Amino acid sequence: MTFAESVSHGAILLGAIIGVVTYLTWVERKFSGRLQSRIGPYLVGRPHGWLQPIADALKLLSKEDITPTKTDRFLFNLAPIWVVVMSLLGFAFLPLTINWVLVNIDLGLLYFSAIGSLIVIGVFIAGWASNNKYALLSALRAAAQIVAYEVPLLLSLLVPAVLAGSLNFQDIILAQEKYWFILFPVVGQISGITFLLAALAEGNRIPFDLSEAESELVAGFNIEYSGMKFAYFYLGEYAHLLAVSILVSILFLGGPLGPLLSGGVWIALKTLIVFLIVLWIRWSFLRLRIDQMMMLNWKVLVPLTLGNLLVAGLWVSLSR
Amino acid sequence: MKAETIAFFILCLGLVASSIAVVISKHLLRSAIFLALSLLLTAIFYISFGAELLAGVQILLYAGGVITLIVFVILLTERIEMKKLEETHRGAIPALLASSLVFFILVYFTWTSPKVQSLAKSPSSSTFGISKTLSENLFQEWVLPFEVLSLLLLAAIIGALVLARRERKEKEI
Amino acid sequence: MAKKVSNTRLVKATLLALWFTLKNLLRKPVTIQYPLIKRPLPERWRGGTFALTIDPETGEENCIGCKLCEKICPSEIITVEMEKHSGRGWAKSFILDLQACIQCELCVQVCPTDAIVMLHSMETPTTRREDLILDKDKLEANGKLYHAAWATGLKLQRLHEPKKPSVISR
Repeated sequence: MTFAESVSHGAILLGAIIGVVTYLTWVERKFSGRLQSRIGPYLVGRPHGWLQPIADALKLLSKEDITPTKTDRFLFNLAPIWVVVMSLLGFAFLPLTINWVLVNIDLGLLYFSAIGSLIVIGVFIAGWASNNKYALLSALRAAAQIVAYEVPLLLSLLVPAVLAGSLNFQDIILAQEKYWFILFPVVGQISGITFLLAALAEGNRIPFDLSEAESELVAGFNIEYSGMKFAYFYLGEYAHLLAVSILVSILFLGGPLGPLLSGGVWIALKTLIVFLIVLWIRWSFLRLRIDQMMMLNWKVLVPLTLGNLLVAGLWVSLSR
Repeated sequence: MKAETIAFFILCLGLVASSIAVVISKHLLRSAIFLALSLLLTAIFYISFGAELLAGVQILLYAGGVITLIVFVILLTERIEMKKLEETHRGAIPALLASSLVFFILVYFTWTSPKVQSLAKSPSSSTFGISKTLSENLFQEWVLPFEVLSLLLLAAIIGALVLARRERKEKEI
Repeated sequence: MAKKVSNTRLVKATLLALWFTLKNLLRKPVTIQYPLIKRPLPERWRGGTFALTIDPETGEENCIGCKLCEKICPSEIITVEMEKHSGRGWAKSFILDLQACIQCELCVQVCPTDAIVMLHSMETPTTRREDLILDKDKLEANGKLYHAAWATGLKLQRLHEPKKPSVISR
């Protein structure tokens, strides 16, 4: 690929992701509705409200762009940009079919997780620059949570890498030709579930959405944001969630592999299923308390993933 | 001029600008953010030089981990976050002299060193930074020093825990 | 410290929560599309707006201007002026400020002549405040727009009467 070619591919990917993320909000609202026996958005774009995301986007665009007076102007405006950029950057390393990946390097997995860990800085900046006690508290919570859950996230992420013997996404996909890693006895299931939980915590989703706990912190770190800047945070959150869903489908569900249909269709299907599972978890559980969350992390997930990784390593080295 | 070259120079400008901003910005948190930015740009340089693993580790540990910790400490330390850092600019001129001295020494020795020049002529032949060779070196040839180092770090962590815990007990009494 | 919960109970609760939402997913949505489909209002609906009734036989207003509703109204939104002619009392003016109404139905409850009633109306909001200040004309016109709710003063007062001791006297 030449330089100009890769730039244009990147632009196409970016546009596609933003489009998909916009409609993920619709999927989320529709599916959340069904989980609660409601029907979700309906009237805008009858009969299923399929114009709702566009209406929402227009509404957010037309809102006044407020920067409160006592904020740190530069950082306040930087934070949403940071979050969006870092969330979208990870997609560069994700293969969407077996051959189509923007940046194909040996260390794709490492890069992806490295960039995922940068999002928290944006949350931090937002919380601090807002000059608001709720926002600051929320940012501190988010930071503590994300730093803590980074450990089980990476440890469970490494299990597929160890099983495949590579950090390259393509090698990981091709290693699953016989069977998906989620079907790998015990080790696969444990790492899949722990990865999903840790990723939920990393993305501040329910049941780990302590940094957005409405009952305590009003709205969390984005309390002072409105209009398009708020939409940026939303975009970043959903892009991250989409990336995590794609990652789960690649690492544990075989990604683009599957009979009959082409790779892109399979990965889209698997990603959608993972996304719906995330929503299912979201509407089934209450928000954990902060000490419960930390206890779950340090006393359950970290030892579990560590032992799991050890077992996976032993398995691979013994069966070689 | 090729597009790569233009991108390279834009990166250079960004790196220099963000590094200067780290030093001269008067907010502690802003400095930290600019530091994160310059570390990221450095990582991009590493990638363009073919040191992929180094770049990944740079992002994961420095930009991700260290900066998060720095920001965390800034936010947790009481009432320093809103103060402007004017008093630290007192020794600006001696600092400038010292740093420029270091800069010239570094440039002089890299420019004249024959090893660097031989590397610069054939940069792609080096296998440094490729994860496979690194892991082979780390886990086969140098596995004992590696394990000793990790033991040392473990001891340091436990020591820090012990120290922190003792302090808290005194407070409770 | 919180009470220790056994691990099996935690796992059971987790699975139960997931099963519960899954059951909801398989159920038919219970949403009723309000502006398109309107549910019938309950018989004793207490909400919406008011009307002053007119006796269908004589065509006269039932209100005798006794001011009982004005006295009992907790938010003091009713103002009645009384005049007397042709052998009974009349309301010279009757103003009800719906903006502060709390829909308590006390005015209906005390009315001795069933003159004020609540209506089976749901969509009474307007964009102008003046529309919510109801005078006598508007109140009488309302009675023709919507049909009245079950409760009237006499019916409600009958509920409060002690039960007739019919069983004991036999």
